[in-house]
Amino acid sequence: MELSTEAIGEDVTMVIFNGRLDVKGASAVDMKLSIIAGSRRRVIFNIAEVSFMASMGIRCIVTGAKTIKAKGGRAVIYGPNPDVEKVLTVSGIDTMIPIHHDLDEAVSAVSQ
Amino acid sequence: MTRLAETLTILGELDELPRCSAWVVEAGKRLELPDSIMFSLDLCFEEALSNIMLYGLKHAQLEDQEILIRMVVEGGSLWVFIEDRGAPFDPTAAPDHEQPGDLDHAKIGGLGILLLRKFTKGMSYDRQNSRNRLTLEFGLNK
Repeated sequence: MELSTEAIGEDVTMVIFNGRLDVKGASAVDMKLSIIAGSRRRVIFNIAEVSFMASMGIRCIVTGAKTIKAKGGRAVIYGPNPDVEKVLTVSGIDTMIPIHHDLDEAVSAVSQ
Repeated sequence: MTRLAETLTILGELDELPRCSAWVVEAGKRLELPDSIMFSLDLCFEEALSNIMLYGLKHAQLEDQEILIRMVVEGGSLWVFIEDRGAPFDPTAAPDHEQPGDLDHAKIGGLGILLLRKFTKGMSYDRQNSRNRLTLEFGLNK
């Protein structure tokens, strides 16, 4: 699992996940993600290249989103594949962290 | 009736999960499992095994650290049997996970058993001779 960031405009940060967000993947990115979540307010979790997600991966995303929201910021999820999206929806995560498949919409959602 | 089986023994350590995941792919090919169940299978192994490793086997002696895994194709289903000698733990008896619709009150953990329930056709548990045995059923719609 690899994690990188990309700035979109002046305010929005896209966090790009690449690989499996399983026990091993979540522990590999946990620290880096908490640093990003602690310092940015408008964040898009781009999981388009995440092939697999388990509960430890969900924990990682929810923890990051909670940190961002606690500072008055916003986080959304962008681009999950159908299997990963099913994991997120059956867990009820989509009701707390909106899921988008259109990048422009994701940017607008965090910019409000 | 056609009956096909695959078995694997792993240690109760999180480092074993990638080896198990790779085995599921290879064993799945030998059992000619449909692609449509491979994600669910991978997910349920990850959730069931990490629960056993993090909780059931946490205080187990070294000689009790083995986890036995068996996959059997029978009667239109794939049956997964997972056995360990850890502390008694019945995931089927765990209360339903209730996720609040609001991030402030979101629970950080407890989703593993919910995912097992949602991504299997059925799940059962029994304990005999100091061994936990978890059975997961996946429907095979080839």
